[in-house]
Amino acid sequence: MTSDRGRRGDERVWAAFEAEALPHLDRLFRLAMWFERDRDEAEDLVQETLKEALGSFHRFRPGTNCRAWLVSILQHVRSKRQRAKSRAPFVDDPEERAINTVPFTPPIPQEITDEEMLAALGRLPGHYQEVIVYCDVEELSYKEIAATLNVPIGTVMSRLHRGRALLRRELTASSARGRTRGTGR
Amino acid sequence: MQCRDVRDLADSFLSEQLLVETNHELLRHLEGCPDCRAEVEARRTLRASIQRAVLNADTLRMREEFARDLVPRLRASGGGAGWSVRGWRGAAAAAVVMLAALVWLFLLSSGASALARDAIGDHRDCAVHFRLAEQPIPLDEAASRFGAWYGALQETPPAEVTADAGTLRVVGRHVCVFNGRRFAHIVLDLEGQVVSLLVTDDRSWSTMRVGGDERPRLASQSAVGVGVVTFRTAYFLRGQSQRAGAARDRGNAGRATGAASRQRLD
Repeated sequence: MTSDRGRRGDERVWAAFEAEALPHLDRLFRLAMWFERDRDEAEDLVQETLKEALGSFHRFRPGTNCRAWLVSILQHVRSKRQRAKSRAPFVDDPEERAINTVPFTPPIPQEITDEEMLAALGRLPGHYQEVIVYCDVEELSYKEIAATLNVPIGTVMSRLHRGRALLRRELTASSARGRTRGTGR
Repeated sequence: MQCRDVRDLADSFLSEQLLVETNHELLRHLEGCPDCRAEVEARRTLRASIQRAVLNADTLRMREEFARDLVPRLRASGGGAGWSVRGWRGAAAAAVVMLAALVWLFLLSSGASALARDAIGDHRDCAVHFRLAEQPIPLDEAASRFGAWYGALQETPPAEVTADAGTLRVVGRHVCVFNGRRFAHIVLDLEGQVVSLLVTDDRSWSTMRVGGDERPRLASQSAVGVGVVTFRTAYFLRGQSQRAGAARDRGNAGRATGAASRQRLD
């Protein structure tokens, strides 16, 4: 009887998980794929993320942003995997220092293809990509991004500001290269 | 507020992160400053372009096989959730079912009838890809919102059913909506194949043609006016299953090849 009740409880947890979390699978995968750039790694990351999410689904508060909750778990799993692979985390880089010295924001080219956008985004340092993707693609709030990355909100804002400025610079450069090619030079 | 302030705050404005007063100040500035308006619009467009590029990129798309295999793997890893065999309880509970169509999902079959193809299409999306506009909900929730009969399906069919084609085990039960029709959806495993039992209170069964001229028939009627409707035949659908070889060796299901074929249920 007790085990019957336990199983029914498990069924309910699964049903709730299925309804709340699994609809985000596609976007979660895109996120993983963007960060990992490798399909096998991305699949492992997503599977591990969802396993952890299922295991701790009792902590999820219904009515809150489930995608943000899943993204924070994905980020946590990703960090663990990176640590396991002994990759040094991004702390500072020459680009960050350089961008601080840029006195103006470059204009945004009028016509940008999706491919150009992805290429430009992919050329940014990883910590800028993270905040831009979390903010602009996943539409997480600054607070949610700060919690996900375990950094102060001010850091999220400054990374977003610098990252977007850098992205505009990349897009402008890419557009200029395209124009040069277009004129046959 | 000066133009420089607006440029500093524009991203937070677009993310709706500003305090109400600051937001109003910025909006007031935008009303009188075309340059800043253009800048804010450019940033809005940039953000939309980033989102579109990532969400549309084919290179970031999930493999269908991964999506299909992930769900059972997750369930298996979830502390044994929902995998146990429960005893048969209340065959009488089946009497609440108004219309049941048993659809054997041996993947897509090119020769299936339109009815069966629709059912497969709908419920591959539901059970495998979760692409439905409305999220599936648990049966007990559906019972409280849409009709008590959904609740009876928590136990019916039982967790394990033996059929000619093999042993069917229930791996999930929920309620989903497709094309405006609400289904109780029982997902079963038939020795590695996905099988769906779809139950709806759609009353159009009385005019439905299942195959040829055959019509569903009322098998039993309960005191509350609902009844079990059965078909004498079901469609065994087979396409290019990943386990085609295994399926070929399996009794009735194995005899169905290529296009849909019919097997008697009784």
